[in-house]
Amino acid sequence: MLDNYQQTENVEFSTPTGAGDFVALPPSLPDKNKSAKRWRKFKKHATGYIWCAPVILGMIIFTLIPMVLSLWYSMHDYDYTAFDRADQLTNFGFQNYIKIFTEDFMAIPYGTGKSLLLTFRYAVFSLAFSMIGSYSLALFMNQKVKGMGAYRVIYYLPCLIPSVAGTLLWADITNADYGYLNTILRALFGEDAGLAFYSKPESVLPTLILTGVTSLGGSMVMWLAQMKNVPEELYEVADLDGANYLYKTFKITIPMTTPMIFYQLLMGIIGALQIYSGIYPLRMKYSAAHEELYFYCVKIYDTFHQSHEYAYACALSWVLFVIIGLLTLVVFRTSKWVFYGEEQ
Amino acid sequence: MAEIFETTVATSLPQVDENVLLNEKLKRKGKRRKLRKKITSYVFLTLFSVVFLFPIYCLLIRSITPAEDALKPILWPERISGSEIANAYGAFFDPYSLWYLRNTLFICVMKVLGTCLISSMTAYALAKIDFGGRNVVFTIIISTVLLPSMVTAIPLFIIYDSIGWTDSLYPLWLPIWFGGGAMNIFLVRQFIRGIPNSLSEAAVLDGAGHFRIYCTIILPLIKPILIYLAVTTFNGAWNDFEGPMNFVANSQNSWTLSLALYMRVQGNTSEATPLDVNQQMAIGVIMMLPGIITFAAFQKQLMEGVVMTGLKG
Repeated sequence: MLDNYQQTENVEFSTPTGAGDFVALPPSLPDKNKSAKRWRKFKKHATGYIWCAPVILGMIIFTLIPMVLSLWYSMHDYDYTAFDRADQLTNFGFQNYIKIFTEDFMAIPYGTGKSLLLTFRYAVFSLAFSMIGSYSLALFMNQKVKGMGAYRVIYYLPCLIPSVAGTLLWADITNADYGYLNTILRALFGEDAGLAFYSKPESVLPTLILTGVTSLGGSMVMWLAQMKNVPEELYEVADLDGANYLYKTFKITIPMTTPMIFYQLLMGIIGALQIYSGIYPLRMKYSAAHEELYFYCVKIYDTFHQSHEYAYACALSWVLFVIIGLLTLVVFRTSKWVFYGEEQ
Repeated sequence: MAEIFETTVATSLPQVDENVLLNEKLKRKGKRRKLRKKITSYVFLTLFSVVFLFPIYCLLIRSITPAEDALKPILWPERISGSEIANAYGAFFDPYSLWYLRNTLFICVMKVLGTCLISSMTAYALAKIDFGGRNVVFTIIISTVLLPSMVTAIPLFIIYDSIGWTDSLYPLWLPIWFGGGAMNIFLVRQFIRGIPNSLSEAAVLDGAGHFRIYCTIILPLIKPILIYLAVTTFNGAWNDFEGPMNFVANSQNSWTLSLALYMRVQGNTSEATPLDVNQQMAIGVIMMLPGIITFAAFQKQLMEGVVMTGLKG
């Protein structure tokens, strides 16, 4: 009986309904709660954007606006000597883009077509050389031998030579007359030995790519770090199965490092197509090889800073942007070979 | 039972003996093979070292070869004179070079500060503040890596030129205070995501805001990655050639060491004579020093950072 009574009492208390419901919560409270919640939510969103504000602002000021401006300029004739702002931009239209692919495409000596072809050739060969080279080097360095740390430092050292000094240095080393390389070759194989390097048009590009051999150390260090991240158990299991070194390399090491290979490939393509600043010291030393070192971005820079054809330079850079965008798309579309671990 | 036991023992005993013998033979053979492998490894390692040390050797030797002998096909300077070496290395310490050094150092410091502050702040927001659209913001930031710098460089030059910045150092360091570098943001974000929320929850209960959490909890914990960023940013800015060449090539006042080296070799300056070969190389040697010093001092953090860059994907 007592239990029953208490129960009913409880029920009555816990469900305050009816007219005499003086303990009801103030009607404004749920609403206030809601708006407070909304305020808190808004504050959270706002805080996030405030923290990101510098970067967002920066992307608008230093990326978005310049890109739109560039597109705008590229569809005009830009007369930078015009005193009045209004006279600077005239003739809206696609004349610059048409010029790139018609009269300037096959122009001799400094045509767009030739410099695009040269840039593509450089990108393909230098990427293949640097990626395969540094990866093989890392595979070779990825063994447990005493003193490996010291060797790694030695291999990394050439990457610390400043870029301009390094280019000037290599220009001297590969000089056909007095360069160190030819001096060594002549000492070893007689006076007639020696390579042309930058002094002959056909050997300019191979020289440029192959002299990059000493900067393989930088990527090697990165590949090594990747290879150290591959779980040791995988190799142990393969050892139990009697797998040899090649099998382990192609079935474990390379698949496990594909994300990095993908990233390096993508950044490598983008970087190689934009090569120019490192070329200028070389062009200065070998004025005879100007045409063979006329990469696409060199053309853009010269068009802008020397011929002052602002609008045309913008159009050229937008063509490069579209090419890089398309290539990026292709690389992403064909990225089935990338292995992102088992959790995905 | 006994029969089976006997036969098994009888058959197994000699087998064990044979196995032991075979094992030892294999071991000896394996040891020899291992030794041979080790020797070939060292031979190749040393051969490669010669290749990689070759440019360093050339840089050093050409910096001490007297200017008149620079165009002779010699691997070792025929004569070494103290005054020539002093002349070569003195090129770094003439008033012009010191001015370029001042410019470069200023840019380096501002870039390091900007990168560390902005990238860590943005990364904190992207990792720990759950605001709407943060994934979109993150994706946009990352995709800026794919933009060719040439596209923005031309209009930026026009803008900078119209507000007079091409005579100043602003174009070289100010943008980093509004960007921090997309890859840097990515790295720090990965690092901050690894920090458990429980650490900051206690602080939230104490009533700490995001700023306090960022300053007192996050910043001390992400020190290794910040050191990595600082070192790589410093060395990047120290050697940067593209930026100065794009924006300040026309104003000698705002040249940096890299650009000045190029311009002075070209003889494109107000100084009387172009740099001699030994002076160029001496400047190269001195410019290499910060890289070597930071590499030696922060090797651990640099390697960790390299490992971190591998976590993307």
